[in-house]
Amino acid sequence: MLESRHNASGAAMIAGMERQSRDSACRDGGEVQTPLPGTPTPPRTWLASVFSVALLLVVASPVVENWKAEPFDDFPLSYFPMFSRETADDQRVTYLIGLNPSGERYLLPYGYAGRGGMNQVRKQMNKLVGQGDASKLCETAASRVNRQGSRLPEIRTVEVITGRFSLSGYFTGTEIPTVENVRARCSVARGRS
Amino acid sequence: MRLLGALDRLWFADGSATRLAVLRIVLGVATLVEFGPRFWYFSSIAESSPTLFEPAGLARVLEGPISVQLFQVIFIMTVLANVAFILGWRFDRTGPLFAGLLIWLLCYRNSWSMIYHSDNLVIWHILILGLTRSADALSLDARKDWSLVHFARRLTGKAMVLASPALARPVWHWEYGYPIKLLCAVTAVVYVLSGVAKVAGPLGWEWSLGEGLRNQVAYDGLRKELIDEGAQPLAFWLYNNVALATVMGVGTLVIELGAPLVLLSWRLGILWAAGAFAMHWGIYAIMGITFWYQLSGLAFLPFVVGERLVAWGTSDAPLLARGLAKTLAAWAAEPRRGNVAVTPAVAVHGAPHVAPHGTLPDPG
Repeated sequence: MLESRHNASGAAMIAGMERQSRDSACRDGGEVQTPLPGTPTPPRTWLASVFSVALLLVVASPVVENWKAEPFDDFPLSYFPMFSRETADDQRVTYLIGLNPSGERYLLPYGYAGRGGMNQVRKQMNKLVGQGDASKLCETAASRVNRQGSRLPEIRTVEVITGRFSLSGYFTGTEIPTVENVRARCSVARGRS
Repeated sequence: MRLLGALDRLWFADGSATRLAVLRIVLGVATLVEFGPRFWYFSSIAESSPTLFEPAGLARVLEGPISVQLFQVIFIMTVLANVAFILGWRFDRTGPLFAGLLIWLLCYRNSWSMIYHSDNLVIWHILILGLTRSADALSLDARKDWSLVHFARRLTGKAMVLASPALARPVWHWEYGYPIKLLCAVTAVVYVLSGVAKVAGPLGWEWSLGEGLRNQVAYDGLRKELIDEGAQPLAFWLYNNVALATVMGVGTLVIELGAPLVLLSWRLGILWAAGAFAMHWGIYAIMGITFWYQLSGLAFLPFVVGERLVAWGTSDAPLLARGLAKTLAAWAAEPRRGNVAVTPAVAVHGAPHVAPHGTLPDPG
């Protein structure tokens, strides 16, 4: 057995290591294991070290964005800015309103504006409004309202609105916007199913 | 030099091929379950207006969006590669292929005006598993030498020629240990990045004093009130409770910035994983944000799935399950008052007697 260990040859070496490994597996749940004295250690390749260090550096590399004048977030190399932005108390939000014949207002969820998650559609809405395409957004929403037919209240008009809110006010009971700008208004086509 | 030696022993500690393979299978299945059914959802996003296309990551090589049909072909290829990844079939090619395709697919999905941060970690984990020897056990590749053809050739002395790379090494090796360290380290780096972004932001360390967290919750909640199904009720509660927001803010920074320390100790790693897991459930309860990979606990599996658990899972658990199944079968087959006529005769007489005979050695 000793000979086979020192010779470090083929099957005996493998068998010896397997025996050691099973013993180690019983001892701990994954802690660092020190090889038994005299146990041959397989050669460590520099490739694994380079791969490990390189991958960690690549994943950590977006950290520099934190100190840039115009930080840039990317995927999958992100610096994870989502909960770190400064948020002013005064907030502007663009949203969709549906109006029934008697003028009652209904908030239309983001699914009427576009495909994707809430934040994705929100950004797309802001982009369209910023580009002066609020009417396009309004038409998209109106056509989707129309497709919903009788599953919705009788919505006759859709409005794209940018409202200003006080965060502290909203979360302490004042849910009314300080200012509302109607960016686009369009009618829902007749022919509801 | 001593430090380098210690680092070397820490990083290149031996691990079992089975433990790494278990992570490959579990995370591979999770990826398939998460993304596979999203074929039409992702396709509908790929149909968005080209004016909304803002390429991210690997998609930046594109000058504009690709056709939806091409996107769907790539999606299907990704799913097929995912299945090969789980099965460990020709893993030297399908492992890197799946990792590459998944990165590309999610880069493209994030190229429509919004970058989601919920899929970053799963990408790094799959990349590590795809580029290392995670299919040397519990895989089709590992079973190659157990096919009838290989068995016959082994008898004729041609085993060395046919031996797969998987069998040319011990089942316990540093090459199976260091990928798990790397999985944990990448997880830690991602959390550190998130923590650094908070303290490097405009609020600095004051982020932890409650104000930062309250503002983020309110910012997110207001938008959900106006264009989604409304903010979580807990968002209003947290906003009006500065002390609780401070506790949560401090806790968040401790978990995020303290993440690298957990690489030094296995037990610390489990504690940290539990804390991070709880933090994500807290985020979900307050903001309704679903980090699927973290909420399911999958992101923390490399910290939690230890050798002992794997050894138990691959030896004792199947025996236990088999015993339990036999007991249940025997119980089900037992004639009881009122249902004698319903119980099939074969089950009544067969189940208790067949099992013991099955363990007898082959007389041949």
